[in-house]
Amino acid sequence: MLRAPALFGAARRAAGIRGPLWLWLAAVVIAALFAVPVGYLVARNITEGSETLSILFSRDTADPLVNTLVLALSVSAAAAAVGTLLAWLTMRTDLPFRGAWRVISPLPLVLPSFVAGAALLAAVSPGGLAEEVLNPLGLDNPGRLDGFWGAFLVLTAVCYPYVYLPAAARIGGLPPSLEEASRLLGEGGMGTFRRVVWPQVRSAVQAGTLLVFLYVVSDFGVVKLMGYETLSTNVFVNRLYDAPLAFSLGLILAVVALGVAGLERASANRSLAQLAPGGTRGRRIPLGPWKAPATLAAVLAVGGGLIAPVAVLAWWGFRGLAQTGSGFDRTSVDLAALGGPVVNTVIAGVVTAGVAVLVVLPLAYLTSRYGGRAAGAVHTVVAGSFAVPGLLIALAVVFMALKVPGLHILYLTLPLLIFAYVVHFGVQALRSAEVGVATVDRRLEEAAQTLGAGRLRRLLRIEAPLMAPALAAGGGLVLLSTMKELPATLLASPVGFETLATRIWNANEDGFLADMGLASVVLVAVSAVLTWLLVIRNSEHLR
Amino acid sequence: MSAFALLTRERLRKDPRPPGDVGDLITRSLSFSYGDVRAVADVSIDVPAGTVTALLGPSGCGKTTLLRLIAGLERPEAGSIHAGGETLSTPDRVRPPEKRRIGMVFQEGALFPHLSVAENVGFGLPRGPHRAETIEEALTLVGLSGMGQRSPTSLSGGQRQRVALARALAPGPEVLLLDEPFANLDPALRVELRTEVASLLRTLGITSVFVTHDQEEAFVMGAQVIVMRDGRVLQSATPSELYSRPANRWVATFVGEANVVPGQGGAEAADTVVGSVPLAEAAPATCEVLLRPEHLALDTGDAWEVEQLEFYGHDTLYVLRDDQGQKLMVRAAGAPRHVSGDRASVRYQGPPTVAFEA
Repeated sequence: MLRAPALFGAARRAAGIRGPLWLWLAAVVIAALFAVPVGYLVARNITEGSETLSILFSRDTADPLVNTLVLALSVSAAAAAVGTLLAWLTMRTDLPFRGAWRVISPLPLVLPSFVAGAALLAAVSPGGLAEEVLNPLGLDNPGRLDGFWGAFLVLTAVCYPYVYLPAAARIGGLPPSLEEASRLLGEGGMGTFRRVVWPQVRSAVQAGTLLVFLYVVSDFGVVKLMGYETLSTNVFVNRLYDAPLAFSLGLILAVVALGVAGLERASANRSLAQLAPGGTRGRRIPLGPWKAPATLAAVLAVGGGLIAPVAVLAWWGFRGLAQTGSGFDRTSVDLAALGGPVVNTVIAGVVTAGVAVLVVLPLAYLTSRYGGRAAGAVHTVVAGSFAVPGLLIALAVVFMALKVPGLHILYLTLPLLIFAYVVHFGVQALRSAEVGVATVDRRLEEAAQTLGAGRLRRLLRIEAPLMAPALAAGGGLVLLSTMKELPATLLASPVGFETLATRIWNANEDGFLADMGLASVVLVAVSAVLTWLLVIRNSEHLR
Repeated sequence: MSAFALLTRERLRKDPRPPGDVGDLITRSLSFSYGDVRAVADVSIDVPAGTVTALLGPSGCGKTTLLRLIAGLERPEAGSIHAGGETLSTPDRVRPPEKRRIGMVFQEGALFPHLSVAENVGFGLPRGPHRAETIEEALTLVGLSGMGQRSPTSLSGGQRQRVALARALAPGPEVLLLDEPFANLDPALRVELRTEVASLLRTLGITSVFVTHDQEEAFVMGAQVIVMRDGRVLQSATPSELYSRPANRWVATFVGEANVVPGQGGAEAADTVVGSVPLAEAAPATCEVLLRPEHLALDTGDAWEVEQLEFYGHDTLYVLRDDQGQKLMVRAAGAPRHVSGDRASVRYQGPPTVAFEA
């Protein structure tokens, strides 16, 4: 009688399972739901006897695969270089207006890449801003900038903040005495960066670069706009008339994304300096003759990633507002018509954020309070769903609703869209929730227990108020991501359910540049506020 | 070969000047501000070659900034720095820190966390056949021989500071700077380590500046103690001189316990609440006289009331008060001989003391 639970306990410990059973049941169910889309993707490839392998080596696949890899690797390298350089310049040197650069540098994050891409194309389109600016100078319109270079420029300009933010936080928090010790031991500026700063910053840069890589392989908007054929455009195009091919290509894409994410995690650096608790005074490295080129580099990076696209979109948008005429005119806009998309965007985003926070909370309790290998596995499932492009997750859930008996009532409904969003972005809420759970000292709960508070009362009076800021931040990140997500929204939205992202996309497809400009300005404004509140304000070392 | 000989040889090999001609560390009229705050104001100090000087002052007095200026980590607004017979910094030419051959031990150690202990110690050494040997010698010097392969994160606080010291010494610096290196250690370890480091620095005969806010530490470490306040040097003296002849009332109370009582000065003595007190030098008619508590003794009498007493084991501190409200601390050897409320008289039994202008 006594041995059975003991044996059971030993087995659980051996499997790295710690914590109460009911929490585990909840976690397993939730993790299973997160694994559903990728599982379906794999299952489709197996059951249809699909020739994934032969497709992999076919000429039709090789090109988009190579294109995807070439673009992702080159954008990753460029964004890593730009982001790290900018972080070092703003945190450690006497770059003019450093304070302003620290605020501005992460801001391209607010621009969805397809908006930046559309802005670039709109700028060089006939009657666009480029003509307006260049013609009086006696210069010609530079012509279409598209294909690889168009995609490369736009994605690098929009993605470098993914490297800049962690790198700047890391450099800014690094005790200056490390660099000072190196200087006093006879090492110069470059040598100090190579031998002391870089080993400490590498893992932050690497983690940021992984996000860039994942962003690029999952990007659909920019490559479609630029006419650069990648796996994601192929999946999108083929889903309607050759679903098996789309699923095979999708599987290849997922393998690329998950493989790179796994490689990055395996090479993470563990011997890092404790970040100094702020208020450290350090020596600013004088740039000397490099001051002017460094400033120019910062201007180009931030200008290309933020100021130019926003200027172009605002120009089209306000030109449209100033024109009289109905919304059918290509260059005028109907402001009221934006109301629906704004409301839809907010509804989808807020509901997704709320659901995501609730769903990941049990997982956060497990991973941050009890830990162990099994909890690590649960975390990996959720994190993996972020690495898999949103396009594929939407594709999988839409086809599941269509094909799996009994699920068809979900086909192209709002709950389905929200399910896809939650699976894709859930890890953002999970990381914040883990921080939130960790902030609740267990002794506080024990104190409440000795004062006679039951589980529910402890949850409501102790844990919830303490965790609220972290949970809100996590929900906010999810909200921000759903607002900017294009391909999943295009694929899984209910018919007639237009969000700002799809509105911008459709207006651009139809050539309504004024409509697109105005919707973009609204989206960027909302996302700028959220980004400021949730991302930039929270990285304390940037201030 | 001993580590000392090795370090000396390294020094001579790098710097062909003949031994015996190593100059002092000197600053002249050094000034520096953080924004509007004057952190170092017109500071001139002399650290004799081969000796240890302690920089003593409360936090925010500018002592760490002075150290950073000497190291070249901050750029002075005015003044010059010279060491080892070379000019390190003038208003026009500031030599970068990596070219100064100055070693520094930081408060938190600042060990490179991604490098092993040996790699840390070897960071400033040129590649060559003697490298491994020098690293081991430097580690032996600080009592950590054989620990080279350890990671800094696996070390205790005291061991980390030892590695930091070995790292700073290994390249054979001209001057060694120590910025409150024991501040983060627990008291017992701190006492142990400071005794060890003091004797090590003396053995090596390396010109050193040691920053601290702890008077005891300054007295143990420094052949010379420089007291700073609000960015200025108040006094430079040997520890005993500083204690017996502080330059002003503030130094007197900062360096040890002190009663400063009103008195009527004269050429050789002053008249105070405890009677006539011998003076080391003449004082003005109205002055304040320094009476160290251990130089006062209790007698039978009724001029003072024992208000409070604290027994420390080796001695007892009495806090007395007279009818005018004047307070006085008296430290006497042994266990308490009074209880609070007792009345007693006080007499001065110390060496000639100093008086300050009131």
